[in-house]
Amino acid sequence: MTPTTGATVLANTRREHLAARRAHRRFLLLARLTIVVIALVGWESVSGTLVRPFYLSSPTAVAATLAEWVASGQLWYHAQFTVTAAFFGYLLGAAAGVLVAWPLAMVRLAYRITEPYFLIAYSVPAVAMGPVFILWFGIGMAPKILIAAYFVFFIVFINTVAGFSQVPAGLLDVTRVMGASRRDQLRTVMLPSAAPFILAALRITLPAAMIGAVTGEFISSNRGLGYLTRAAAGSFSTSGVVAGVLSLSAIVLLMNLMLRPLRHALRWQGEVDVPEAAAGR
Amino acid sequence: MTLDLEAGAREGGRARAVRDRVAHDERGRRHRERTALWLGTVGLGVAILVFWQFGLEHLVNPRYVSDPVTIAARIVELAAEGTIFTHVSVTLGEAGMGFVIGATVGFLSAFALSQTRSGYEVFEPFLIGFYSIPKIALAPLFILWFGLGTLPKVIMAALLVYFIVFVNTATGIREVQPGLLQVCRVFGASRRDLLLKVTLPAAAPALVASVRITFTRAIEGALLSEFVASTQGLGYLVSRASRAFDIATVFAGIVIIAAVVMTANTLLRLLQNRLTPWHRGQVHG
Amino acid sequence: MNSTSSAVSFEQVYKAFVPRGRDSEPVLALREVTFDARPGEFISLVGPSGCGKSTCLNLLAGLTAPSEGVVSHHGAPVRGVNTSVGYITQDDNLLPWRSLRGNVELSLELRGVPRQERRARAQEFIELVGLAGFEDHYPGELSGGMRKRAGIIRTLVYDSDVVLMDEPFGPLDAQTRVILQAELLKLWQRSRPTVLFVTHDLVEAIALSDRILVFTSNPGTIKREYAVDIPRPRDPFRIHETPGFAQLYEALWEDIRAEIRTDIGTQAGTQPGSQEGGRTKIGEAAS
Repeated sequence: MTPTTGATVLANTRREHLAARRAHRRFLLLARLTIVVIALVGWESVSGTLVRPFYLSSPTAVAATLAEWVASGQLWYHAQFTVTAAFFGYLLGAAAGVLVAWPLAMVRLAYRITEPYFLIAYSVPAVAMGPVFILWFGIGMAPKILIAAYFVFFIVFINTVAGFSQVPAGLLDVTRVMGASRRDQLRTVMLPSAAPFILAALRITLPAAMIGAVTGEFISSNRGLGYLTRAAAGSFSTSGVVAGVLSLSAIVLLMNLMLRPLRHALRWQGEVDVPEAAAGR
Repeated sequence: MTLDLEAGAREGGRARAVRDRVAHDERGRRHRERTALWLGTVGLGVAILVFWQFGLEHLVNPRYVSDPVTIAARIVELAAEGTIFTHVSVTLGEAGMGFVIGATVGFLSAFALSQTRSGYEVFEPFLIGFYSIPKIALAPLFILWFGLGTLPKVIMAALLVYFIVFVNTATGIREVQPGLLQVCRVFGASRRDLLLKVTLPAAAPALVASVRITFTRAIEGALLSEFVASTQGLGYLVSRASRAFDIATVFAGIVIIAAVVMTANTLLRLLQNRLTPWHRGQVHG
Repeated sequence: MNSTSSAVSFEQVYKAFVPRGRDSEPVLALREVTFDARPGEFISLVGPSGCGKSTCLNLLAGLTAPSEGVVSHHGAPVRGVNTSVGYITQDDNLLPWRSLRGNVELSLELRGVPRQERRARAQEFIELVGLAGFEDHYPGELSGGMRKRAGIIRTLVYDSDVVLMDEPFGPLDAQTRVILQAELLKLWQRSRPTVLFVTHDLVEAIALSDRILVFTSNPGTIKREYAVDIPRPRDPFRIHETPGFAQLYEALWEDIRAEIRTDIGTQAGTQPGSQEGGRTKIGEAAS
């Protein structure tokens, strides 16, 4: 059947296109599944034969440890601790980041005065501040929250400032001639313009807060998934270490997934490249 | 209205006067701005130090608060002892090696993966998965596998660097304008030519641009690993001091770490400006 | 010329400014600029790149102040940002996060016009330029020509008596440009504001204006003034055929040619803008 009208050609093309897309997606799924299966099978077979189980553990051992943790309630107990610390650290760091950055971004001179000090503080990796916080606030949740907040603060701060500083001058001029007051400009031009940067930073730092909390737990703690992982290492349970790592990354992945809808809210501006987004330590 | 215009008479005396006056005003304004900046910065610094010296102990547990004077003295002590230099060089060495390894592997693997059409796409979710692992949680595994020496630190640093370089290279390759490739194909470029003459130069700036960030991360990675278990290095210095409740040394260590990071940053920024003055790309960190 | 009968007047205006960058030398953008615009006049400012035409507009908008001389709006010197003029810039400067309707309504919103009226007036203008149906689209989803229209109507919607336009049709293709010229004239006829129109395009200047001011190259001053005697209403599509066009075009071109320098870059056309940031326009080769 020869297509004789434009409509037929369009319909055919559309059909082919959709079919190709479906095929592609199936291919991706298949390829990924194959990789996972090969990895797991390879891991299982290597452990005990080529490599001592002490070094690598095995999928079955890890699964068993995880099952035990879930059954005994340990997983939930420790995960709660870490997530809570991360969450509060996130709130603290994000709020501080925006609140401190905003006035500084508005008054250029103030920002330039404080900039060198922020740079110095930024140069201290949060890990290094960990012991300080623990010494100051003990071994409970507080220092973990602070370390997480430390992580989050700088990213949010830098991006808020960046967001406000890239407001196009042309828009500010034009609205001023239209009769906008400074407050009007803030509402109609500056905030919407800076919003993508701020929101991108807020999105990226939630997992970062998690990492901060875990870091704190590693340095010194008696609760939390970080502690659990470290304890497993201490008792030479490789499967425990792997199980801990998997649990942690699962939680972080979940957080990333939950934040996906936030990207959609900003459809008028494409993907925003967040400068020096320092997630994933 | 016609004006008689000769090249020489273009700027009359009055015009010159106006220019001079504006130049003078501008100079005055800039001078005032610079003064305010200096005063403000120095003033803030002094205020911070004063607060630290006298005010901080009212805020937090006074036993675990040191003061700038003591910290400074401790730094001098450490320098006099000489061991501090070993620690610094150990950490920097770990970071450096990790950086080189991570950057090379990252660059090459990104390149390899981008050769096929869906190579990168297939692996992308795994990448995101690995990226979301808190790296410090891997530290015990590394120590288990690579011992207590410098190797696990190097691997950790390399890992942090790897992700950044990989993503940036892959993005740089993917974002090569197809127009460029098409034009060169029409010119008769072979697949190898395209790779070497178009794709590689297109991806390289992203690499150079990310050097500054990645090296900082390499230092962080080394420190991270040292904190978990080590016998040398700045991270070791700080964590040992904290376990011994030696606050002055803890802060001294932190100050030194900050100094090292800032120096590295500045040097790399200068290098980057020298090498690629034209490039101001966005870096995904 | 009696200054109270003019809508806009420049008297012996000089403008020098220091471009961005450390220790730059001040640049004299304008010298001894004197002219008048009567109410309802459409005046084009033409001249080589970097001759200060845009600076004149910025002075009228109050975004910057003259170094010497007086810039007046309705007899009163311009002090501070002049919110009673309309300013259509070369970049359409639409707010990317507002829909078309939101952008057109912006100026009315800032002036406190009540919602009902705002919507009605905006809708009227949107339909006038053929953008009906696109009210909820974002600027990123509109074509260049559509964004230009939007930029124009959002300024005209609040009926200022003086409208400044800085090469509004610059980045458009030739066909779209002529179409928009015709639409601009149609809009202009409604309320006949005084218009100061900066352009490189001599044909455009002749098609649209009552008077054309030719600027010298930097530092700019008014070289010659031309009255455009072609009767209105004008048809930009057939402006070439009207009697008088050819001579006028020749005369203008002769004047400009004498001013165009081949050394691009000696006076990179930096324009003084607002206090914050400052806009820098790199001088392009004259078309």
